[in-house]
Amino acid sequence: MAAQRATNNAAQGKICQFKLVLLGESAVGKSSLVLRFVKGQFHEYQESTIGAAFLTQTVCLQDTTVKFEIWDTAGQERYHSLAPMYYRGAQAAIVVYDITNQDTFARAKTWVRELQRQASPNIVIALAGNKADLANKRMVDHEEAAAYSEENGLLFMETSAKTAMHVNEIFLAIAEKLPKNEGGTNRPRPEVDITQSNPPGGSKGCCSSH
Amino acid sequence: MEASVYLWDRQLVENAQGNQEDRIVAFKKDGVFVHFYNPGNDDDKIIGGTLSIVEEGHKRLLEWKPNEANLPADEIDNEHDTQVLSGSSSAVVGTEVQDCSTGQEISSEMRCPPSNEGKESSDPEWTVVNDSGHSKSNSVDHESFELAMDAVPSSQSSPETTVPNYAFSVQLQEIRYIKRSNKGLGWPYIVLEMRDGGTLPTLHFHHKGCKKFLKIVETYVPTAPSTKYPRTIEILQDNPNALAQSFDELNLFGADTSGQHHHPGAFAKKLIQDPVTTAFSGFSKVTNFLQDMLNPAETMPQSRPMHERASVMNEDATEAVGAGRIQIKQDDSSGGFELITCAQLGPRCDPLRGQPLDVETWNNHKDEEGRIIDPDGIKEIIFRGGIEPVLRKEVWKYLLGYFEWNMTQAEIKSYKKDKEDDYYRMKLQWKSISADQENRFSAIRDNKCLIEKDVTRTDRTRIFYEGNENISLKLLNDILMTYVMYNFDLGYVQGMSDLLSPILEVLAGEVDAFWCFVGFMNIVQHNFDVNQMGMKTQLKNLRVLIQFLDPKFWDHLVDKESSNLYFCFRWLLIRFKREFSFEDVQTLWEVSWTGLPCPNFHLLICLALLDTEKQKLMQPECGFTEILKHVNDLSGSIDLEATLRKAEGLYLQLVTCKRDLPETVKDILGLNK
Repeated sequence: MAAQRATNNAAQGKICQFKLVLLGESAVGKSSLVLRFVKGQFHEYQESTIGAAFLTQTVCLQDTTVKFEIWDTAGQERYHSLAPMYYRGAQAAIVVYDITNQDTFARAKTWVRELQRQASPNIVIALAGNKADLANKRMVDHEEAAAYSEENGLLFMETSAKTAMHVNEIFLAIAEKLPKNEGGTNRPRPEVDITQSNPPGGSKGCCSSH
Repeated sequence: MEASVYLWDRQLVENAQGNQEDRIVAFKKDGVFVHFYNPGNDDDKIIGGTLSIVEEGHKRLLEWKPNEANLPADEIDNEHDTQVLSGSSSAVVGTEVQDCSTGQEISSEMRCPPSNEGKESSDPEWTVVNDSGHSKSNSVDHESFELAMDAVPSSQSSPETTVPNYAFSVQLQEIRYIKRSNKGLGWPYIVLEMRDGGTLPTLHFHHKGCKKFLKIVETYVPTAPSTKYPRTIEILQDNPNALAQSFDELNLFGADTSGQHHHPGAFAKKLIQDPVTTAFSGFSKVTNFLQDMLNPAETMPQSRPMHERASVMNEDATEAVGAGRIQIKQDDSSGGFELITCAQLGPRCDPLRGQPLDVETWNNHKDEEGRIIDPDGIKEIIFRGGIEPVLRKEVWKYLLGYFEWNMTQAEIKSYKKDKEDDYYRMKLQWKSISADQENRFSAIRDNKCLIEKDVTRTDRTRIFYEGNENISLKLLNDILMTYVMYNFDLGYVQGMSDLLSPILEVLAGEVDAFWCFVGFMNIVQHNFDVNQMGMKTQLKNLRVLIQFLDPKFWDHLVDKESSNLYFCFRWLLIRFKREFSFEDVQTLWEVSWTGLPCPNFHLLICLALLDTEKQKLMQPECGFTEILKHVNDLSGSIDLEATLRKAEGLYLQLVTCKRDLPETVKDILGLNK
């Protein structure tokens, strides 16, 4: 497939589609990050996710339109055994913890380990320390999480779905890091010249970063 | 059976080709490539080779050999580094390598057929999976998770896998499907799927010739366009064992393998040897027995979709009644096999809904001491129309088993007192745990933490729960904590707060709400099992019902890797709580608490919902993702009354032909009692 694409590399703009999964302890803000990223909204009392939810969002890099297929999962340990259904085949994952809760950071580490062991070998993993707006209740050091991410080759940002801090940025950073020449290994499709077609569902703030 | 990628060891291929004189090469095509995707690094390998069709005696072989120059050095040195996977007629050798060259678009249309979904599982984990993004691999975990994706990839695929030798030589007849790539995706390629479900390396025609190849194949073996896959031809079997094999695949004989004379293959052979006598003696024994061919434990691991299995049996009957409902059973007493019949479903009616139970009717059903007379009549009214909101607070206590129908008012008074004491006793148990104690009591701490997280985000848009200092939030919390003490083995699981919230709002009182919640949990607590057994069972039962009632829809779900029915998970886990408005949820729940018209009526509600959405869900582009998204997005837009009418219509349709229903269907709907 890679070779197939190589023959066709002249395309100016192309659309790559990536599957991204959100994992993390319950109530750390997985759904809120997605909601902020996809719809620009925040609900203080976002209801718990039962089963899984699916959303899409598109971001534009220089010459590439990256479409994320986002799987948002239930966080409670009881539903852990369902997670592999969602991270299988994912090219990217955001593992989320809550900076005000040390346990959620520990849980995030076990998710990272599981992904490293069981998910696609080339999966791009980002660690998100969410609820950064609650810095006065901080229990997880920024440095500690940054060092852990460094050691494990993860993208890392502290985010706040509430204030929108670093939410688009973390998705964009993932989009940048994903291999575009192999992009869409999930769904090979003919490359499209975006000058001739509207990028699907682009949102403000996402497509303007570059 | 493992859906593995087949690899033919060169040595064995050469052995098989030993007698070169008998070989006539009927077709030869250079520039046919195998793409080897190495998940461990970015270094994709493409191996060029030659594809040929060879006549060797009576055999018709399809062979592909790499050009020697293309083989990586390590592979040439290590060409036997493969393991024997199975011993079919050819020398079949395999490695644990995933063929990822076909890409997801293709693989998503092509389920690995012999998935073991539905096989009884002893593994508490639903699935332990890993994936390199593709489904055509051997699977070690099929049986661990009957709900897993149709094609669960193998775990632990090692990134450092060496490039294998893809050379193969197979008889054309061993191939079942030849699947062509979609147009416009670059080089055309074909996926060859074997009769046992394995696949050969995907062949990419870099220098065209794909169509010509397919034409030549058609001259050598009987083929037909596949009814199962798009752009696929199926190679039909023409050998004398085919009939026996087809009977075997029908798997009509359940678990009874003891009686050798019952073996379907034996019958088929007999039929071939002496067709007239065998057929007539068989027909003379025709009775109206039904075999439970829908027993998922036995039939689901079979790869063939229902319509195919049935069509092997009886083309006409299949068309007449729908493939999933053909029934066959052997006659145990006479030692013969024999009889074919079908359960024909009659037309589906649209039952009327009624008025909700009102105060007057309710009071008329009480005797002077307050006992409820004719509870069955009351339930019937509730089933047909629900309950007027003002009455819910009282009637729910009976429906949920908190009060007995035959209790007098005096009895209720003292009973309530006992229940109140019992509740506060349990509440005190967790309330009296000190912070210091809690530090060394992780089980309590964890439950408390989970409950706090969920209470703050349960139905907060309802007036009843809005605001931060709302007493209802505290009640929600305390009832759930007390339930943890009541049912410590289960503990708190996400979803429970959704089940309690409407009950608390209706009952308003803490103790009453608690005991009614206990009543509801008694019905649904297995939804929250640690090993997910309750959910698995329900999804399995739902699967049986869909297969029986709507085989076409079922086949679509199978094709779209959605046969795990995972998109119904939320519906079942919290009994449609998130799908309907608060008001409708109350009606739906009280209807289902009547236990009418049958056990598992909620599964018929699922069927009704799916039936309504079927057109959209069966769009060709609607895959696993789209199905889940569509189902999730139905929330808030479902017509409850229409759904209940349809669900009851389905029930009446089934019960009308009760005698002809498979045992599993009857078991699920409680029609065996």
